[in-house]
Parts: sequence; C-alpha cells; structure tokens
Amino acid sequence: MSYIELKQVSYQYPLASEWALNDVTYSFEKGKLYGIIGANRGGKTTLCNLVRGFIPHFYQGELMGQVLIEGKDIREWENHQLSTEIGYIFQNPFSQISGVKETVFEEIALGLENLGVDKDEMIERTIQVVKWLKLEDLIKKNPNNLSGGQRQRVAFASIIVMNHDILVIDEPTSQLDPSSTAEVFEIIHMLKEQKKTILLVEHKVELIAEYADEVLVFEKGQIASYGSPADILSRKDLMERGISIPSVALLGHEMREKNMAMDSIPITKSQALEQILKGGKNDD
Amino acid sequence: MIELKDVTFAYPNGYIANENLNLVINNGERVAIIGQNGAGKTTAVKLMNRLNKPTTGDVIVDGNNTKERTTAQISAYVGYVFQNPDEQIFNSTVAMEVEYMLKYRKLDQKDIDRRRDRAVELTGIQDYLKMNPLDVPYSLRKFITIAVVLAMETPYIILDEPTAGQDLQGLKTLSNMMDALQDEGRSVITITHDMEFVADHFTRVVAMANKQIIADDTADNIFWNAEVIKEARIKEPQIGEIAKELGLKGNIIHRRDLVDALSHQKKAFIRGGSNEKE
Amino acid sequence: MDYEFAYSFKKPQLTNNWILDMNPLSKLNLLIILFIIPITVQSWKWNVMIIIFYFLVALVAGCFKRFTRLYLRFGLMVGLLLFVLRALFIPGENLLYKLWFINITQEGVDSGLQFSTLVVAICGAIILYSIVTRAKDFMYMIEKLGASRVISYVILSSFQSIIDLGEMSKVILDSQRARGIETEGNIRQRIKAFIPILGPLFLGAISNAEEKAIAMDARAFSMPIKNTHLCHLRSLPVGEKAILIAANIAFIGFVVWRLMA
Repeated sequence: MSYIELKQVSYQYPLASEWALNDVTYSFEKGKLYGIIGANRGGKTTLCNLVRGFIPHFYQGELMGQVLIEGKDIREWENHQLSTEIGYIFQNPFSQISGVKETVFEEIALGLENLGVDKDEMIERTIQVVKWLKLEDLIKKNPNNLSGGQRQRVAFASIIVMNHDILVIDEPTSQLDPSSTAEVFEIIHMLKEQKKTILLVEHKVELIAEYADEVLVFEKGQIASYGSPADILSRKDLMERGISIPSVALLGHEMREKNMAMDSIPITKSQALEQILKGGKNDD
Repeated sequence: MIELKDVTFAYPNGYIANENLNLVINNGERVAIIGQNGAGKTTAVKLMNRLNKPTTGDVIVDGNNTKERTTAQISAYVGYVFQNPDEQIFNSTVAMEVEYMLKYRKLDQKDIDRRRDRAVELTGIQDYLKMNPLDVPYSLRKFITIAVVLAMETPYIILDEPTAGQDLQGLKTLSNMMDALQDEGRSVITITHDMEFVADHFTRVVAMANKQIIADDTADNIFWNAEVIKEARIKEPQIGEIAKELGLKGNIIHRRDLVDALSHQKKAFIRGGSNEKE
Repeated sequence: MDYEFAYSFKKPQLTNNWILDMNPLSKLNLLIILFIIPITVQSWKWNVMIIIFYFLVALVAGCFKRFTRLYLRFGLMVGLLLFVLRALFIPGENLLYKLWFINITQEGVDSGLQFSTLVVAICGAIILYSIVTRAKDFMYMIEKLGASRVISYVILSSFQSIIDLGEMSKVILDSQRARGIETEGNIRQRIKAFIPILGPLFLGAISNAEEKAIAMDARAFSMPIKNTHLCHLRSLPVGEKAILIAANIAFIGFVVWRLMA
C-alpha cells in the first residue's frame, strides 16, 4: 500500500530561479526505511519539507503536481494535523531545543503538552522514551547546556514521544562526532524495528547501506535512480556523478578488476568479509 | 613553524580545556586533529592563532610568542576557518567578502585581484562572485569563508570540520585545495570527524582525548592502535576494520593496499578468467 | 531511571521557601503594593526603607546574592546618574556650592535624592519580582488566565535567546578577530569592527528564529486545542490568602489616609 505518494511533483522556492524538485513521481510504502542520498542541492531536503507539509504550509513558492499523505492531498491537510501524523528531526541539534524548559525531562514532554495529553500519561510516556533511548543520565540536566550529540538524542526523544507513524529525518549526524553518530544510528535502528515509515537523508552511505530498505538517489531535483541498497550502492557510476558509494563497494570493484572472486559487490563490511572469506575458500 | 610548548589552557572560570600540549607543526605539513567532541581539539587550535592565550607554557608562531601579540597580528601567519560560515559572513557579495580583509590591509588593487582570483579558483566558487553570500547554498558558503582565509595567503591554515555537510564534489574540492596549498609550502591543520577523509588525505594525525594529545603519528599507525581508538572514541575506516578482522599485517587502511595484500597473501583468490567481470 | 524525579512532576514543585513557593500572582499583588507606596508617599526616607526591605525579602528568599548583584549594578548606575543630573541642574535659592556655571542648591539635592530613590525603589520591585519568581511559573499563570501558548513561549524563549545571542556574538567576535579585524585598540578601530560583528549577529538571529519556529511546529505547537502542563502550581494556601487580603486592606487604608492628609 502506498502511504506517501508523489505524483509529478515540481516545486520552486520563492525568488528561486530553478526548480528544487522537477517532476518527481514516487510511492513510499508503510513500514520501510528509505535512504535518500545525492549531491547537495539535489532536492533531498526539499522532499523532506514537502512530505511533512512545511511546503506549502510554511514555505510559499510554486508547487505543482500532487503530494498525497495517506491518500489525502498535502494542501488539504491542516498543518497541525501533520504535526501529529509526521515527526521531523532536523540537521541542527541546536535549533531543536525549545529553550523554555529547565530539564531534559520537561523538554521531552513538551510535545505532549501541546497535544493536550494529561499529566499522568505524559509522565509515563516520557519515562518510557527516556528508558528506551537510554537518556536516564540526562533527564535532570538543562537542555541548553548539552553537547551537540546529547541534544540530537534529546531531539529524537522529543519527537519519538509523540509517537508518529512517519518520521522524516534530515541529515541527523552531519554535525556530530563518530561516537554520537553511532548512538543516533542505534536510535534509527530501533525505530526501524518498530516498523516506522522513515525517510532518512544522510551523506554517510555506509550507514544507509546498513539500514535502508530502499535507496533513492536525488540529482538536480529528480529521482535519478532508486532500488534496493544492494543494487544502488554497488554502482560505481554514481561516483562519477558526484555521489559517494561505500568504500567496501569500491573495494569489491577493485578486486574484480584484479580478477578476484566476487559473487556480488558488497555494500557493508560484513558482506565484504563474507565475500573475501568465501572467495578464499573456494579455491583452497 | 608553529610550536606548542607545555601548554595548558584554562577558561577564566577555571575549567581546564587543554593540558600539557606539546606539538610542532612545520611549514608545508598537513595535520589532521581527531578525537571526540569535548576532547579539546578546538581550544587547542585556537591556541595557534591566539584566540586562546596559554595559561601556562608558550605558543610560538614563526618566532612570535602569541602572548606578546594580538589575534589580529597573528592572523597574518595563521588563517582560521570556523565551523559555521554564517558566523562570519557579512558583505553583500561573495567577491566583497573575499576582498574585505585585503582592502582592510590596504593592499594594492593588482594584488587584491590576484589573491582573490587564486582563492576563488582553489575553492571553486567562481560562479558565485556576484551573488549575495546568503543566497549561496550552505555547503558552498563554507567555501566562501575558506576563500576569505586563503586570500590572506598565510603560511598556516586551520580548518574546523571542513567536511561536515559536504558531498563528494565538496570533498574533491577540499582535497585538491589541500594539495595545492601543500605544493606552495603552506601548512594545513584540519579538525575532522570524517575518518575516511583522514585516511585518504592525511599522513600525520594527532589524536586527542581528555584535554590531551594522546598520539601524534601516521594515519595507519593511529588507526591500528587499539588503545588510541578506544581512548579517542573514534572509528577506523572500514577498510582498516576488514584488514584487522582478516588478520592481515602491515597497518592497512587504504583499498589499494588491501587489494594488494589479498592478492599476494592468498593466490587462491585469483580465479582468473573474465567471467567474473560485469 | 530516577523515578522519584520523574514522578515529582505529579506534585507542585515546591522549594520549601515560603516566598519562592508563593503563587506568582500573589507575589505580583504584593509587589504592586510596594511599587505604588513610594509614588504616593513622595519621601526619600520611605523609599530608602522600602529599598532596605527588598534586601531583607531577598535574604529570606535565599536569593540575596543574585538580587544584590543585579540590583547594586542597576541601583548604583541609574540612581547615581539621576541624582547627579538633578543635583547639578535643578535651580534653587539655597546655594550649597558653586562651580563655574553650575550651581548646586539644596533644592537640587533634595529633588535628586527624592527622584533617584523613587526610581530605584520602583525598579527594585521589578527586579525582586524577577528574582523570586520562576519564569515558567509566571507563564503557567498567564496561560491559566487565558494567554495563548505562543505568547508565553515567545516571552519565555526570549530569555534563552538573550543568552544564545550572547554566545553567538562571542563566536562572531572570535571569527572576525581570527580574520585580522582589530577589535582591541582605539575607538576608530572598534567602530570599524562593528559592522562585521553586528551583520552576522542580526542575520543569525533571524535565521535561528526561523529554524526554531519550524522545529517547534514539529512539536505540535500549532495544535488548536488547550494544552496541558507537566508542571503545575499548588492551589492558594489559606495562609497566603489571608496575607494577601490583609495586605490589600492595609494598603487601601494607607492610600486613603495619605489622600486625606
């Protein structure tokens, strides 16, 4: 069943001279994690803004075609309905902290206050998310004094507590160090296991290779390619078009060039190891 | 040469951010500084251009003790590109932004033109010169601030997280730029979290943890030092991980070396025949 | 998991200091009284007494240090300035001291004393209120009185924005210094450094505000329903009610007495 549907969608930001999205048609299914990659200015963030309805509810500009969320046109959704339907996690850890709460616990509960959830339920749901994301050590801290990585985890918790079925996550780790990045991806992994529908924009293709069910490649406002991670992220020609592929995939290509055994091009470390070990054994 | 001698740095509130730093950066060297957030990387590089003054110890930049100079004076030697370009840009066109400090220093127009053109060429922002910097996409705005610093033609350039938010094209521009700078004998000091970038473009790596320098070594030695990886909370490049798990020797971190090692070590890998090719 | 902390939100969060725990509206009521007294009395001795009283209240509330630091900085600055201006320039007949064309008169000194203590006393009420009242309690009250959540958010977040802007201006200052712009030294150089610092600060503030607006929208800020609160205030204790009633009656009596006199 298609859950989010784009039909010949084009969009131009106000005062912009080029189309940020140009005739995009795609169906997103329920319960899958979509990895969205591509060079900067390819249309990735615009897609996120559109699916969440920030376009056209917040950004004006020219929108053509149809964006359907659960069968209903984005223009017909009220903005506040979308905020209960679709969660959004942003790139910048600093802008997502409300700045009005004194503790992380209160910060996480803020969305529930806005939804009118009663106090007892609010406390239980916040506790649940805190435990789930292992934020116990942070709950008494002032959110305005946290590090970038901690803030990003709190931002995830603040959205997850609202329990959306669809999550749009736009480059969540671009400003984080490797250990915070790993923590954020642990969260994304847990959300995937909960069968949430996730649109994830991420430059780190190693992580997309690990977690995505489908990969969309954006180029100049269009979906240039899409398919399974194994099909897309093994393609060497993407490199020439300015899109990274995992280093193990490049390794696979180089091994093939040297006539070394490779059944298929690996895209994750474990696949690469498996292939190498198997290749070695075949001929022992 | 930039020299940090037994430097400790504490904030006015008493919080110690760097302890016992000893580091020498020679002309034309390229150094990556890695480590977890909070390890003290940024405070350490800010000692090099005197945004931070050492609490104890000395920082010497080409013979100038930073304690005896202003930041503006040291800026003639050390250029510093901040992480967030938006905290710096204020002119109404990209060209004006790049030229601002050159005019501030009252250089003659010929020199200004030459420096601007060179800086703009290295950073690949030629097409944007007449635009308002705020209309330039974020990932390219970073290159505007890099161009600003390059135009100053300082012998040392510090880049704070240049790879954040950059795509493949941006990474290519960065690596070409660093090569060109090195050919000119200028040093590049880069703070980064991108370990693949470090493995591909740096030979010397300084790892920091808990306010201190815990290792100053070649990239392959650093990524094969289990203790450093644990302490600095970094992740080695995937190629290195694979080589380790296969039990290969030789501190491999690059694809080519891994392919070579596999083909040499296990002749059995090579099946021959072109049927394996697509 | 610190359940004790999590469940503490079920009860009003009391500090066990009766001034701090007082309802923000009760405190507002009492401070309005203290605010009006100096205006009606017009005597610098009363003003000074009230100023001393503020220090006592701050002491009992356990915020003496914070209050004193803020108040002294303000009181010394504004109070002295107002006093000096009045003392120097108000004409009068009893000359105390003559300096070139400036005549310091008894009337000037009296008027300066009166006016400066009045302003300092009135502002003391506001500063004291801001110190002994948690902003979130105040916003909770005005939301309960019917103010929209957006208004209370804007007011509350502006406190944090001031801190954030301060931080941002430090980074901008650093980045311009690193570029070679002299920010130390003579006035001319400092003025020259003004635009490179204010420009990014202004634009940064705008773009931060926009980003935050969208991020808060993702947290369902635009829901058209009545929001709930994780923290709440206790209902007014009887003792507090009694104090309020007594204080208001006494105040009205006092004002009537002054008007009659």
